Order: sequence, then C-alpha cells, then structure tokens
Amino acid sequence: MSEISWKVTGFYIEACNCDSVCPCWTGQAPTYGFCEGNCAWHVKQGLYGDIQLDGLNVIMVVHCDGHMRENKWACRFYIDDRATSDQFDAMRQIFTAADGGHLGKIFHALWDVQSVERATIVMKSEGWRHRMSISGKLGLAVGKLKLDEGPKLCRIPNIHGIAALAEEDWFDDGKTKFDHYNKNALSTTFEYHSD
Amino acid sequence: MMNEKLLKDSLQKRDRTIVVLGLAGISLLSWTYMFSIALRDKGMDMGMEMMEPHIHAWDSLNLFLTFVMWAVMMVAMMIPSASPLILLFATINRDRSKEQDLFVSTAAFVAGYLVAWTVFSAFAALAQWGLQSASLLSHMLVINSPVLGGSLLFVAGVFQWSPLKYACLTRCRSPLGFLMNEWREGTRGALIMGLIHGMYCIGCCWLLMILLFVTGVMSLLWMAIITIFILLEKIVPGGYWVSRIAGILLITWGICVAGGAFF
Repeated sequence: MSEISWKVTGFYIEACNCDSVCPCWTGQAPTYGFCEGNCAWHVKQGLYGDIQLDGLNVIMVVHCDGHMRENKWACRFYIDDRATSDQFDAMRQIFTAADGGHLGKIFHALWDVQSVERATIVMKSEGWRHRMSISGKLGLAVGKLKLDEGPKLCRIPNIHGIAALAEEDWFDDGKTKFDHYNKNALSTTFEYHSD
Repeated sequence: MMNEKLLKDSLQKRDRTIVVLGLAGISLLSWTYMFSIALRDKGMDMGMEMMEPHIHAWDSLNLFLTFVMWAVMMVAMMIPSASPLILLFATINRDRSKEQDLFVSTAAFVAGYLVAWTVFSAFAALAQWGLQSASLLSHMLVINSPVLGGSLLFVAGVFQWSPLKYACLTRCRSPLGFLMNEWREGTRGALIMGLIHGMYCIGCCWLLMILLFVTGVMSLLWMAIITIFILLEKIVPGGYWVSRIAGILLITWGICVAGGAFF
C-alpha cells in the first residue's frame, strides 16, 4: 500500500486491435480473441509526495492472450525521459500499479509488468484529439470518429470519453510488431489518487 | 520460476471454477425453487379453482412467504447478469488477499448485491399484498384491470428512454469501469460495493420486475424472458438500443392493452 500521498490528473488515450467500440470494457472477450495495443497517459497536473509530475507522459504497450478478465496482460512501459530520477520512480510507482492507489487496487492482479524504460515521447494535443509517439518505435493517435460527425459521447459505460478510431496505433521494437490502424480507440480524462 | 507460474495459473483456474460453480449453484437452486412453486400452484389451481381461498387470507405468514418468493426470484433473475462483474471482482482480489479472503470478500460482494435486491423484494411483496387486497390480481397473479396493466406497460416503456435508466445502465454495463470508480478496500468495502451495484441494478430493472404483475408473477416463461432481456441490455455492444427498442415495444403493448378496455 502507498505510504506517500499522490494524485495525478490528465488525459488518457488507448487503441487496440478490437473493432470499435472495444468489447473488453463491457466485460466481453476481445473481438479477435486477443488484445494488443497502446495506452498512454499525459499528466497535466501531478504530485507524488512533494515531487511535481506536471507535463510528463507514460505509454504502456499491452498484449493479452484471450479474455482480459481471465488472462494476465503483458505490459511494457515507456516513461518520459524528461523525468528526473525521482520523477521516474514516482511515475513508475503510480502507473505500473506497483504502488497501491487507484491503478494498483484494480490492476495489480491483472498486469504482468515486463519492462519499464525511458523513452523520448512526443505529444501533440488538440481538444480530445491526442497523439503520442516514440520515434521509429511507436505511434498512437486518437482523433478519427467512426462516423463523420461531431464528437460522440463514448458508448463505454462509466467512462466519460470519446470512442473513436485509431489514426495511428503501431509498435515495432524489432521483435514485436503490430499495426492496428483504424481499429478501436478511446480518448478520455483520468484522475487517480493514492487512497 | 516456470513451475511457480504454472502453479499460480492452475490456482487461478481453480478459484475461478469455485466462483463460477458457486454462482451457477445459487442460480440453479433459485430456479428450482421457482419451478417447484409454479408447479405446486398449478396443481392447486386444478384442485381448488372454485375456492380461491388463499387470495383473501392474507396473514403475516402469507406475506412472509410472498416476500421469500420474490427474494428467491430476484436471485434467480439477477445473478446471471451480475456474474461478469462478480468474476472480475474475484480476479482483481485474487493476488491482493490471502486465499481464504478471496472467497470471503467475493461472498461479501455477492451478499451486498443480494441485500439490495432483498429490500426491493420486500417492497414487491407489499405491492402484491396491496394489489391482492384491492382484488386487482387474478388468482394467477395477473393484474386484471386492462387500464392498470396497460398503464404499467406504458410507463415501463417510457422509463426505458429516461435519463435515470440511462444513468443506471451506464454504471451497470462496464464491470471494469464500475470497479475503477467505486473501489473500496476489505470485506466491508466489498459488501458496500455489492450494495451500490445492486442499487444501480434496481434503478435499471425495477419496472421490468414490476411488469411481472402484468405477465403473471409466477410465469416461468416471462421470468426467463425478462432475465434474458436484462442480460442482453447489460452485455451486448448495442445494449442501449436493445433497451430503447424494448421501450417502444412496451409502450405499444401498453396502449393496446389499455385501449382494449375501451373497444
């Protein structure tokens, strides 16, 4: 459990290989039997104890063989290399579900954290349309609506966000490679805290 | 390392099997009880059609038995659609607590959920008492006034389109979303989360349950239809539209039933 009090708020985007809207959010099996994609958080305001985390990004590459309730999610994390070592540790504690708090309570049993690395993350943001990338390795962009109309309220219950399609959702580190252009994507905000 | 992982996986499978069997067992028992009552009542109908004694003899025992019947019926009808959330709850708890705690907190979660529905059942039993005392229910436990029956159907149909229904269904539909927003620690926390989820479920389904007064409280067919409908509304991707289309059908049905009284 967390002994340090913390709170982070900002926006969250994700895209995966499911058809939109991702059935995993309503407790269903992934559209194609497995889940693969990128998730990213941008901390607008964050405080871990007295460590400021404003403006830092973190990306999680996820793979799950089967129903996401019944199988571990293999997770690889990339933390903003602008972070100082204290900030890096704080981001790792919060977002890899290592610490208690919001993500830890829910995802500790589901996530299998395989690696946590530093990376140069480029972030571009316009309204609810966000893009994050690691040069030559990863791209994630949410900004395309399924139907060509104004922003629709997300059909994913309990998540006040926008369900869309991925303009970009790829990863390539030489060993693992995927590209799920035009598949499910989601843009929302988050607020996590230590208690 | 590998062996440890295999052992963990097999323990995980075993735990899940126990939870699934537990839920299936509870549902099966409840459905069996409902079958047995339905069959017994059918037998009574044939034998005592002329007498209709039990309708007027409302005493506290009768009221209590009606309450038990409603409570068991709610368990039978709601456990199937609550199971995705219960299973996710058990998964999330698995690594976090000692083994015996996993089942304790999962049981507490289910108990909280069922307490909510049991309270609802008490009100439903009182409603049944009221309707029967006012001679508005036939001996098959069907509302015998087309205007009242039609109005109930109509209101239930309109409710399917209401913001309250939408708000409750929204909280019902995503197990992960619910737990991320409502997580509380410990056995007590599990009980409270179960209660909260139960209240959202009641917000979604109370009028659908009240419709049993129109279709026949003891109609196993309609129990099954409503159970399956609630499950669909909750889990299929287009659940909101399933919900709304059903609303239109109910409104139409209500108008036909109530209208029938005037022609």
